[in-house]
Amino acid sequence: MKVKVEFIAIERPKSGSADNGETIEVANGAAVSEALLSLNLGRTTSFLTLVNGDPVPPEERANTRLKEGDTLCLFRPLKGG
Amino acid sequence: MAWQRKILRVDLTAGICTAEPLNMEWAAQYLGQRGLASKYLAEEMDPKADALSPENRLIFATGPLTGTAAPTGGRYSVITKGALTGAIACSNSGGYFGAELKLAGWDMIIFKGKAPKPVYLWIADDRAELRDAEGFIWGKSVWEAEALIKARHQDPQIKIASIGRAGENLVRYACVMNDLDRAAGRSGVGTVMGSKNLKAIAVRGTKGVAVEDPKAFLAAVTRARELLGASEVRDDLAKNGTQSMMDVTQAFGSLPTRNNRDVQFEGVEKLNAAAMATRRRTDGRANLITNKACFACTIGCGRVVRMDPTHFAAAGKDRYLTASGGLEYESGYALGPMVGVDDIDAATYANFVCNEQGMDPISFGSTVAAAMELYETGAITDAETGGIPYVFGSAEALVNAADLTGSGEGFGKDLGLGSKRLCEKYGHPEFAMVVKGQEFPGYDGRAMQGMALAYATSNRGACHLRADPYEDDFSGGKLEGKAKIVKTTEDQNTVVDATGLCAFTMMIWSLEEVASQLDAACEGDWTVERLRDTGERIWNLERRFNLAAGFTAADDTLPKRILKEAANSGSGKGKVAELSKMLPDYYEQRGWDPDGVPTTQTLQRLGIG
Repeated sequence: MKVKVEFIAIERPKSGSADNGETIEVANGAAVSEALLSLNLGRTTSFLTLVNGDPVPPEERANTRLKEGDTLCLFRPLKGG
Repeated sequence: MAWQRKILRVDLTAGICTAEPLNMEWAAQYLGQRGLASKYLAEEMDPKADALSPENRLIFATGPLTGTAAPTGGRYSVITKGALTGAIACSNSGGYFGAELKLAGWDMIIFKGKAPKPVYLWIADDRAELRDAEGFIWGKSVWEAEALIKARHQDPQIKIASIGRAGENLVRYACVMNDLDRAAGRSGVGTVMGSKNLKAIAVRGTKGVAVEDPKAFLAAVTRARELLGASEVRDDLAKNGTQSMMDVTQAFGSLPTRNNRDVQFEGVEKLNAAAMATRRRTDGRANLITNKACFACTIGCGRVVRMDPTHFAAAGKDRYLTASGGLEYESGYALGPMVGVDDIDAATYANFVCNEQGMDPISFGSTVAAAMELYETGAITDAETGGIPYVFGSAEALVNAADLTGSGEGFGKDLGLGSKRLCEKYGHPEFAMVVKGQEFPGYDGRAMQGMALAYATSNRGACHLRADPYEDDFSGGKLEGKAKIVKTTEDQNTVVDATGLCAFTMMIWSLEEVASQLDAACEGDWTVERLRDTGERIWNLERRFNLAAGFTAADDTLPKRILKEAANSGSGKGKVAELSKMLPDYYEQRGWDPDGVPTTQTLQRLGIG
């Protein structure tokens, strides 16, 4: 199935990952953690994740299933200024 | 060492400057800057005194690491009873002024009284004297005053903190500006300065700052600097400034828009970091020219920008067509989404005027947003606005407001009241997006519940820098854990504000890096644990000041809009701020009674008499 990936306010984070706004192919019913693995970001803890605008805490990434057409956003834990 | 062990007292009424040893017993308990100055303030003035009365104190305070080689060690704070809030105020600024004051040999300056005529303070190392400002810089903008002082004293290296016309005219959210575009911005500390007829402090410092263990200090500084250098967060701050946050809050649905009626703004892509870096069609240049850094800073988040020379706001005003300090996230939010304006040059112009006249762009933009809601509901009409339609999205109204407010002309006099007083005057106090009278920064508490609690409990009124619930909020952390996170990070941020370092380092460092540099620089043993205790002590001291000033638990609240009206989009859609579920836990975490008063045991534990 296809999932859109957005990197919010960050550069393409690692080689092998998608470009910003790119649609990637993941297995049907893939978890967020599996999508991150396919983006070569599986061990990265320095990003926060949203699925269709809703936060997915790091400990719930393995249990949160993606659906066709979902948007997966990754962003750094910035603080205010 | 690291402290200069000397403070300057200035009796403005009598026109006398005297040197005095720093109270090192208090320094051991309250460290410096925000902490130590709050201790002096609490000891010396009646918290019930009017903020604009001569009895109020105005303190410019450095931290022990200010003026050292510690990365970002150039910060100073202005501590007083805030003119906007009536609460204890501490506004922190970077640039070069704080380090220069320390290099001149002073840890802090304490002003009392009111000068019979406008004055400025001239400091050249140990020498300090009041000079006449009338007929010289009184009535001038921040930018004009800086140039005139440097010309009179024949020294371009002089560093200056001053108020603009907004401070002179007692605009309630006037800043103290330094180095042209750095600001001790919040709570009306510049208004207090104006009420004292004090226009500026000009300082030239040629001494050094001695540290306790130079070898250990160098090692700690090197390690801390390497951590910053290796960080992708630092890279992003240097490249995009804090404006990166606008895309985050937009995606998350916590970007206050149109006076918090909405939480996402359709015009973000015309204002965000990418927009600032995009070349314009008119002259082929981008808004953003480059970044810049404050004293000893290796991050460099500051923005240097230029306006579109064809934009209507700058027509015939060449002084706005040169490079100057640009939009950061907070000013960008307040002069953009909060007023519904997607015109980056109008927002940049308003930000320039805020710097030039010495106004807090957060409070200014938020007050304009409140005025727009009042206008749209008919409570304010063309009769008040001089025929300018104050509607959300109007760049013309934003520019008009910027032009009038600092100088107190026409409708600008009303706008200078701030949101709370403006909305009360026109019969709709519920439109004021404030806590303790201070306007919201750029985070909506319905999607960010930890931030809602942080706003409600901040000792200086709504603030985004008093606590650090960001990561937990953006991760969808549970409500039950918010009170502990807010309490713990309030203590941490408070002690960092007492060191002379910039809060942004804490996106990359832990308190270990702060402790190692402080311990090497200063006498005494400064551990992480001691720093946490010091932060908690300072927080409780500030709380006690506010309670004595008349604030109660009823002031630890949020506007009805945030508590009762559900967010209409984003991750907080359908939610309100659940403050009543978090506040009792927060009081318990703090060791306060159910009325929000520190218990005797808590005060004894912290050594607060």
